[in-house]
Amino acid sequence: MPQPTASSVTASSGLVARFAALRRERPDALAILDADAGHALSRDALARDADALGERVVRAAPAEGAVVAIQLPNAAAFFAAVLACWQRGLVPMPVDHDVAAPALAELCRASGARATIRASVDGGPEVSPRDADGPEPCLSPGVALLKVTSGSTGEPRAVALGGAALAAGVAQIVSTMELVPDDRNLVTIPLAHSYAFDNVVLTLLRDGMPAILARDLTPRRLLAVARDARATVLPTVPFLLDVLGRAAAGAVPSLRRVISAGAPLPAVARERFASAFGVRPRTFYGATECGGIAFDREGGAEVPEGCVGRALDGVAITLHDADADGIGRVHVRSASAANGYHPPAEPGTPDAAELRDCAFFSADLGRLDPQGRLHLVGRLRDVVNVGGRKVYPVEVERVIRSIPGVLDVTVSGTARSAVADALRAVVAAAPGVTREAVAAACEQRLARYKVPRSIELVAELPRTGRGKLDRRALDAMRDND
Amino acid sequence: MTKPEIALRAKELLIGGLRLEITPADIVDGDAIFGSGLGLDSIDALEFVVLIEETFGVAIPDETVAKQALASIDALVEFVTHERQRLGLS
Repeated sequence: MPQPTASSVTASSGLVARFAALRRERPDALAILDADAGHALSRDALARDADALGERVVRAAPAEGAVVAIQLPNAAAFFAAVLACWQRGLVPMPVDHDVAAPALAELCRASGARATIRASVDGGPEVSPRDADGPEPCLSPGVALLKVTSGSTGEPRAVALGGAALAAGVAQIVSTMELVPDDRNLVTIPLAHSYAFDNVVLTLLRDGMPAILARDLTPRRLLAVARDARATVLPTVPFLLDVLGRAAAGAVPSLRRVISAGAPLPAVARERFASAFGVRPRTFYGATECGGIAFDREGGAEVPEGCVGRALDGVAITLHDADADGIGRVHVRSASAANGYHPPAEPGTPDAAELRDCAFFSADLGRLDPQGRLHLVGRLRDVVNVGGRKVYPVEVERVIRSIPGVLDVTVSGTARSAVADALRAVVAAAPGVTREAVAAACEQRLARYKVPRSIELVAELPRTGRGKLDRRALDAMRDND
Repeated sequence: MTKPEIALRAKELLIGGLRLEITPADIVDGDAIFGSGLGLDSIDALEFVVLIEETFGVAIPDETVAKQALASIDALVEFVTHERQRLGLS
């Protein structure tokens, strides 16, 4: 069992106390509006839900500081589960709703989770205890939250954040993006991801900013919800901004701040959205390991491609090992940086993204311009962006390579539109291996968005004379199809 | 627009708009478009909704309608025909 630590109780106490005060001030104020379920929750109702859920969670995970995995869809129960854990001195670990059961089990084992909160068949939260089947959790005192990142190898892993880092992260976002307690977030992105967790969950608990949850993202429906609920802030991803801008189904007069993160937003999609809704989307750049990094503070029409804006308030960006052109690895020093990975990375593990001394070495390469704006120019390793979610091809390749009869595989991204990529797998396999078998193995072991859309079977992969994968020949194979 | 014209245009949108590596003849009119062998996901579904609206001048108000209207090419043709008649489009 994890050792109880006095500080695990207090790690998140700042946010718990803030929300308790907000509840006392205005118990009937709107906290969550679930547009699809058609029900609203006040601050008081959310706190009562959290109290009731907390009773059940401590029965499953009685030790203070125990890790509790939360895998819930974007619904009020997600907020209640996080609050319940913090009120009881437990450490929540939100996990993407799409993460498949084996990957969730591995995350729970690696992090030493003692309970899970998942959606039951009737949709409500179901709390299940977990037997200790992994390493003893050795969370350092003061850890308040485990955030899951895909990591540079594609293996999901958790980063451990202290209460102070959580508080600093949300303060940086609120001040840089000029958000106010009267704002209302329209939520279209997974709450379990760092982006929505900071921008939505923490702004509700800290400032009482209501969250409007929309799971039906059909453009007309989403815009109607935004209008009816008087949403003012939309933190989302480029592909959704692109379809909303094209649908342009009516104005949303209340909207005043639109945030785009997770992938580059092409200028044409940005300007189309701006002319349709009168608000120009601002690029936000961040990482699970350190929270927000940079933001387009000016919101001008002329933003060079790759430019992600200036550092957030309280964040320092430097470039590590910069070359003659000033291009180096993005290095972030911030009070919102995580303590480290949990479990810790093994010494000597080659890893692109790293946390060292509460500073974050990103896998991104960038340069700073004279105005202090960061421009991203590439990555240390291949990553494919599927609708704002990062997929590391090595993870998908690992799954396909393990299928009996598969000899070789390469997974890469191909453009599916101006704003989104799709995964393409080229598989060298013995006769008898079918595309269906490859797809089935992927569906069983990977999150839905990591399953390649295109699977091609070949006798062997094209390689250059030096044995390296011949990318040009691979592209030509595609063009000849 | 005739029903065969709508069917062909919808298949071209599906293939061209979502960059699929198939031909219109590969798409069976009665087969499920999503959750089938085409390997399309929710991102594709949203993209397809907007393409259908842009091309045929019809409105798809929510996911419930989208699921019915985009269930198959046959269903889509019926939906587009009905909506265009209702809107007075030829």
